[in-house]
Amino acid sequence: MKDSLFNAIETKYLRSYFIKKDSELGVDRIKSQRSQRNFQEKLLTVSKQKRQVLLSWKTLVASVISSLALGALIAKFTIQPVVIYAGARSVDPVSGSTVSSNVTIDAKKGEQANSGLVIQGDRLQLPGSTPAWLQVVQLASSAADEVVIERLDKGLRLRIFLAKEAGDRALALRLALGLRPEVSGWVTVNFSDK
Amino acid sequence: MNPATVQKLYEGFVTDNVESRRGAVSEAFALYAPLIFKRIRYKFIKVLSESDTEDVVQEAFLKLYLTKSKPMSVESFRSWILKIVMSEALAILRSDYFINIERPIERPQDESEDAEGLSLEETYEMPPVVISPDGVITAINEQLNRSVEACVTEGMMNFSKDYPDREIILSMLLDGSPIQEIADLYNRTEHAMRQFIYESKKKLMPFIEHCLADLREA
Repeated sequence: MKDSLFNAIETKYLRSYFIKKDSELGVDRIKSQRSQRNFQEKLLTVSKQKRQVLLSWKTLVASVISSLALGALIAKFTIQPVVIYAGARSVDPVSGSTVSSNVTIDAKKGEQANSGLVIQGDRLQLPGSTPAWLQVVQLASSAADEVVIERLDKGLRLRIFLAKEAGDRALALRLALGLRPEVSGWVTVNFSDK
Repeated sequence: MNPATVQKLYEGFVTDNVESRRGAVSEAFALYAPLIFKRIRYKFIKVLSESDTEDVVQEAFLKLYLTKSKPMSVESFRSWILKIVMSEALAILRSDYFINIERPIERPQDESEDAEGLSLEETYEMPPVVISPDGVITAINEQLNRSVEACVTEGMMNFSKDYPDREIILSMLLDGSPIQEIADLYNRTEHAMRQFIYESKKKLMPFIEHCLADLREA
């Protein structure tokens, strides 16, 4: 197209005009060796800066990951049990004052409780599908005066306050936990999968 | 441009190797910086010095080096470079030199005609070139030549005032830049640019044809 757009005479005079104009404007400046060299130097500087930025980013990411890993490690050893449920129904002063014992039951995986419930500690999570520990929790929440459920690192801790005088459900709970019917006060049940 | 050179440049831009990319940017600068420099220099001659223009172009190419974008294909590679560099250059002009982005260049007069695929070759009839066998052109005396040059210069100066973009594009064309390259620089299709150039010629002729009339008659 450029060959057919202007005829030879037009091309000659127009080219002559543009050559002069380009020269006046210094259009060839950018083609000069000096300009090319100057650009190479700038490019090299920017390239080095980019590398430094990349390095500093890598350092930052590495330090963040290290901090998080260290934090997780510390947390594993120091974090306290988390209370995931605490409920009180009716703490009567008589029961509260007649605490006669503090009982701790450790139920482990596959352990057979007196009630015949199998406590599957390796599936401890709320809400869970394991009926054994869930039934104990349900029974405790309906029969005991106070129930505190704590999430442990690998398990669950159930703290139940059993009143001295209680109904059938409390008796069922005592049987389920393998306790004697006269036991009252705070009972702690540790479900663990170890 | 040699397809092997284009391929090499393209690979330099798609690779993650820093050295290859730097080499590619350097080569792209040598190839395309003159075109971009020319466009900016012509356009902003009143507000930008020669060295400022050079700085803007160099900065724009440094941004090309830093961009995370990569060309999609070898075919779209040149267009990708020119679009990025031109847009970076205009952004630098706006932020560092407080120069407003220029108006987009005029559209072809009849877009529907453009869409129908009209090409210059099909529609434009060249005027007869009057060069006699015995070399009349070479025999034109210097006085006449100077007066024709002066007349054309005056006509072109008036033309550039009215149609600055058209003047730049005609200049690039006469420099030998491919139409596709100019189209990429202005973010237009090749066909639209052909149409624009054709219209530019039509608009230019009234400014200079009287200067050349004597030569045709000679």
